[in-house]
Amino acid sequence: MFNAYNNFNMDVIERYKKVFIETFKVSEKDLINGFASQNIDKWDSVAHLKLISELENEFDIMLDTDDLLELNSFEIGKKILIKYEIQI
Amino acid sequence: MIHARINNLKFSAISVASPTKKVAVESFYDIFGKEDVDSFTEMTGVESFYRADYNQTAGDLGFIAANDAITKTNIDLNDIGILVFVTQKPDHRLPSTAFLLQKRLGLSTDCLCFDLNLACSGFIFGLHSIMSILKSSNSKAALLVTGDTSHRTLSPSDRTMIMLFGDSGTATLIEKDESSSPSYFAFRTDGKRFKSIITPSGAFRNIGAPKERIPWGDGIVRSDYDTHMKGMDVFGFSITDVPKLMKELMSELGSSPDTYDYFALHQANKFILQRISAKLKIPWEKIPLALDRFGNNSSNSIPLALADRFGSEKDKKIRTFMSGFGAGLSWGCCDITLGTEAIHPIIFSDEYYRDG
Repeated sequence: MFNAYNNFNMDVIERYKKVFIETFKVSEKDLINGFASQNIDKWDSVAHLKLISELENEFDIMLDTDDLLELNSFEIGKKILIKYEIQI
Repeated sequence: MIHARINNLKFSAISVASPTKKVAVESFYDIFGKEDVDSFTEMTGVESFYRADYNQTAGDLGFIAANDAITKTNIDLNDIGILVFVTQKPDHRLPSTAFLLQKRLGLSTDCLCFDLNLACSGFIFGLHSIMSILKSSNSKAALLVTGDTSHRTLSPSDRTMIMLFGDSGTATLIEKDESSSPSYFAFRTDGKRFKSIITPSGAFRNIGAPKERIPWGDGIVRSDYDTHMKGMDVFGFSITDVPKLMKELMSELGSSPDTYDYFALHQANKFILQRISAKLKIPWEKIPLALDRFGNNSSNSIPLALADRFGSEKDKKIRTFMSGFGAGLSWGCCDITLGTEAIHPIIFSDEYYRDG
């Protein structure tokens, strides 16, 4: 059961990373150090809308307006998804 | 919110003019790359837009629409006592383009004419202004003309905006009529957020700013003479402040989304419209969509969406909730009842004024 839980969580984090990787066309290692809107040139308003749209589709959620606007980094995104009972 | 009720005025004509040159968003593949362009289309819904040629101005497009409205209603030109032109791209710094339109349309010197400097909220603000003046005057009719050629102050490298905006002009003829349904309006403005959508130079602040385009903090290459939109600030405003005002006006009127046949909303981008639809529980099929083919047309968006949807559909009375929002920041909404026989098909023309 412990392993199944860990595997499930790994699946969630991998799905989360995949959305970022595909949205911003980066590799997994790019997500490690402070991947945030203020230091990624490609993270403009269109990319942000795409990120939100893909996360909502991937996890079948609809983000509140405040969360949608505040989701401006890889790390903050994880904290926000936890609010929607996504176990990252 | 500031709100208003205006009685006994009818919408006699809504006409729209577009340039003939259609630009597919795919034509930007070489500049921004196929993936980025396809992402842009996916998020905004814009697949193409129309762009005015070098010589054609917002005033020209407004004139074409105004001429159509006048011709189709066969109104006596002397009955038009008010003309207001809403634009961010006047023909000249001085005088207002409304005076050129007065000359070109052959309106009398008894016509009150002036420009309003507004963008995407301009149709609603302009409607309220012109209807208020008409009500308090001895004039029989008023003509609201809108026009914009937004691309003229956009950096060609701005991937968030250069593929978004289309050019067009519109004209709405309003006449006094005792039997018409009342129109209701609500507005808010927030000058504290004036920098959210701004062209910093080219007027009389920041005179002498360098014209050279350089990379800005967001990575986009532009100068102070290019329009800059803080994308996320404007997006946040569009999906919070705007539906809030819409809800407040409906609450004030005791109405709901079920009350209205259609919601004619500023065609900002599809994601915003979907968010407003979800937030206010407005059925998606009640929101006419023109931005896929015409892009974001600033103050022209609302009449353009109506002409696109109803230009060929006659003899139907529709109660329509409209909302326009943008630079200022400024946002407004209204509840209008009109007959679709007043809404005319879009005219495509590259005509321009050779004596300007």
